[in-house]
Amino acid sequence: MSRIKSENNKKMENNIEEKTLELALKNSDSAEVIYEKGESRSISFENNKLKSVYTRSIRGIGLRVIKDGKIGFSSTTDFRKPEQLVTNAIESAEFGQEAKFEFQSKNQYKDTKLFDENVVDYPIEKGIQIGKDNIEKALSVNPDYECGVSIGKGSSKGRLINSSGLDTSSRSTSFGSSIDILLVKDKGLLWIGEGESSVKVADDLDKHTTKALRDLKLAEKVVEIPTAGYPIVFTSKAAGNLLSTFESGCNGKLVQKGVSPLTGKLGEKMLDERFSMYDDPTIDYADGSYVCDDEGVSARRTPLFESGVLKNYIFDLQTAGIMNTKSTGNGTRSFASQPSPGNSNVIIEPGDMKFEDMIKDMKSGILVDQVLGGGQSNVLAGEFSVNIDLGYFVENGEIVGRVKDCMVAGNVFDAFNNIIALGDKSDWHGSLKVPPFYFRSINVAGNS
Amino acid sequence: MEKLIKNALKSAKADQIEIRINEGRGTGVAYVGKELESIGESSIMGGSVRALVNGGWGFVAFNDIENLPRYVNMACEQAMLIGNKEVTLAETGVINDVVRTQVDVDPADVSLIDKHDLCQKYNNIILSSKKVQTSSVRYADSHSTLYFANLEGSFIVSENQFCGVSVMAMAKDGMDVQQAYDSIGDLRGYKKVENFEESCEDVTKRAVDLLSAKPVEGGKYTVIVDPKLCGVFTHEAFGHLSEADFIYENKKLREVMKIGKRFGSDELSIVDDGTLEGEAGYNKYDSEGTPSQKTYLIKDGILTNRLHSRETAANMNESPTGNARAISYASEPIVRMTNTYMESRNQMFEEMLAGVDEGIYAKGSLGGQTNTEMFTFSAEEAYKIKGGKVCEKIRDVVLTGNVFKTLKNIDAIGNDLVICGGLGGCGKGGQSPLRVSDGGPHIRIRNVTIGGR
Repeated sequence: MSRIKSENNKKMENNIEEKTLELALKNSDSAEVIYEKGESRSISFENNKLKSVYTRSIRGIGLRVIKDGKIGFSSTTDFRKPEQLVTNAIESAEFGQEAKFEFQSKNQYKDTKLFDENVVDYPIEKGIQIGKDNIEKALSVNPDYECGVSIGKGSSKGRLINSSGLDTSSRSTSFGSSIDILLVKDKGLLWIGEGESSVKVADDLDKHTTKALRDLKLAEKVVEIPTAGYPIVFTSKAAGNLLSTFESGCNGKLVQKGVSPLTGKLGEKMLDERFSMYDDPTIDYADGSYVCDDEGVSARRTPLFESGVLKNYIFDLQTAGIMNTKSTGNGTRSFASQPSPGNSNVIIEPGDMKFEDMIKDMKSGILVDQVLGGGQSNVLAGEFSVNIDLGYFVENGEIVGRVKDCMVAGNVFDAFNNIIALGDKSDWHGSLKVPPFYFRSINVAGNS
Repeated sequence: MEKLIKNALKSAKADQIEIRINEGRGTGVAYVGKELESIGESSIMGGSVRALVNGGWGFVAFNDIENLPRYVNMACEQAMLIGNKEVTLAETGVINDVVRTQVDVDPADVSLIDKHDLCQKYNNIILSSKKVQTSSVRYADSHSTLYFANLEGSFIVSENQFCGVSVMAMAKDGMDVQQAYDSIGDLRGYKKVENFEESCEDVTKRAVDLLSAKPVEGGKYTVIVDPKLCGVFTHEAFGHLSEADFIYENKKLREVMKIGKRFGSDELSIVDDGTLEGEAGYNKYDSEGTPSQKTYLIKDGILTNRLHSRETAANMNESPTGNARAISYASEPIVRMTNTYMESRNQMFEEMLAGVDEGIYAKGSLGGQTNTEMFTFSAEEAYKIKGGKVCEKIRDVVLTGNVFKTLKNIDAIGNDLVICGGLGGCGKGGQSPLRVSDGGPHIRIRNVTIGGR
């Protein structure tokens, strides 16, 4: 996904964009060129040791044309032959879908912060030191731990120009740090991963190591549980897995195809009234933010669910055109693909219960922190069935041990109408900001 | 190109340097429902340099290949930031070769309009059912030329043509949406994708039938899985565990995965074979220039070997297997599978079935995942087995288990091995989808945990 920021940055080192646009317009009615260049550098530790340093300097260009009312597209990373790119795009337009939109004209965008100079200046040697320190910390607890650390930074430039006069450039940064710790025991493996990502420098790995070490301790003892329905708390890290049905359900493309279970349900109360979910690209320094989307439509906050009521679907230009509605500024793409509706940041409003109190409240329940196999069941219909990769059995408000080799399964439309409480704090996990969820009862296939 | 690469290597100061350049083009056609979502050809050009200096790896990926010498230096400088340990690489010999895979019909010789018409035909078959809400038909081919060179003097040019198609039907009834999927894809050429009508009819029927299927009840079951699902099981549950990059620097895991240890019954043999020409996972040489081979991972129930890169092989004092693969020029080679399958034995499907009083017959796969010890995979289609007979259709069957226990719980292995590729592939370390094939015969597994409401 490119993040486009309004800037008067006409002088790029390379004018392949203009050249391509000009060539394309000789044989088409209108055209749009997207250019992306990303530089990233990362280090990785494997098995407690520094292993590699990576640099990726990747660029590419995509051309979308409208010819005789039909859309054509092609992309390349080979900048020696813009003619071939244009020929491919024009040829593709012979078969292409009927265009139901016009390219965006010049636009005024609101500013959102997507760039942090500190990321660009961040010395990779500092990341190496942080990795060493954290692995040392973990090994001082247990020399049998096998740790991996990855710290990476990136900056990207994007430019979008079209025959309607739009010319917008962007600069953005990204930073990520993570640690994973593996413990091999006679009875099996225990793997815990923690980390964060941001537009700004996010190298406080220590807090993630601390959490991973605490979890490893808690998971030492494995307990057996019978198959039954249990009250379940999903931590904010695990809760994201349950939200994909709502994300895909609100996707205008799936609504247009008639396969979203939310089709025709705008204005209906479908979920617990404490559940509100927004698509919001306008948050400063968030992972999924942008000033305008990848077709030049200005960014805005879109309510998807408010108080359990379905409010909106998200659209790009073409899908909105087919549906006789307007783009919500969610046209996402890379240079190598045509736009389609996609979420920016997904924000779930917090509730009022402290996470600790959720655990205290359970007489006999399960806390789920990592799952395995998310997205493999019938997500669209709301079905989920996942292995509890990292989860704990809670008895009388206390964690008594790890549950292992168990599956938790249900339907999100049932589960999100059966909520005891939402956590009082939402946490960022990538571009998702979500609180912990406390469900009344979900079925678990046990291990006893 | 050869000159550019060889010149760049001359100036290098490192223990090892590998240069990989990829020049390629690909065609894609995608129908979703009535609309043609995308069609056309795109091209790529890019390369990478990997350098080893004093045991540290530096890796640089780029598109402006004319600046190759600069990137060679950059990779060396980065590697020097690490350089703190001993790393040796297993010997693979100096190889100079040009590899061209044979295709029945070269997809590049088929016009875009023919590819479009093929997809349209398949799409119409699916949409002709009134109960189908939408469809998805995707065709993709790619022609790539890979240049590989290293400091030892190997220079390999490999050309291959991948081609495949996937079809999906979605049926909807109120809030309930069900889907069925099928795909083929390998290096054999265009012919195979031309005869997929039956699959289109099949996915249509399966999706519609699923609307009236009941969700499975969670619990432990005896399960018979079909060759496709057996392939995913072999790949997910066991294959990933035999990738040496995960094992080689972990003492405890080396004990768990000790060669000679029993993993299953005498009947159980699992193979990874990169030399199966035409299969999706075929490579004459891997991304480090090592020749591929047929490797028995488990033979007659005993762990016999594992998958290696040059580094892991040297480290564990074993032979390299040619399994260091990179998904593209922009990624570093890591240990991956190629074509992975469980060998056939002599049980007939009917005999297997007769031994099940109550159980589940699971077919096809929507995907699988593993954390090495535990795996999950979801069946695309499933039926109850009662009194040795396949009975009513059920849905939402996701199987999970501990690989060590589950391999020992396989109590019957069929005689009907099928190996298949497809448009999907394998994901590991952020590199996805890598073209692989997997397969197996029908097998029966006791005591499998299945999630359910």
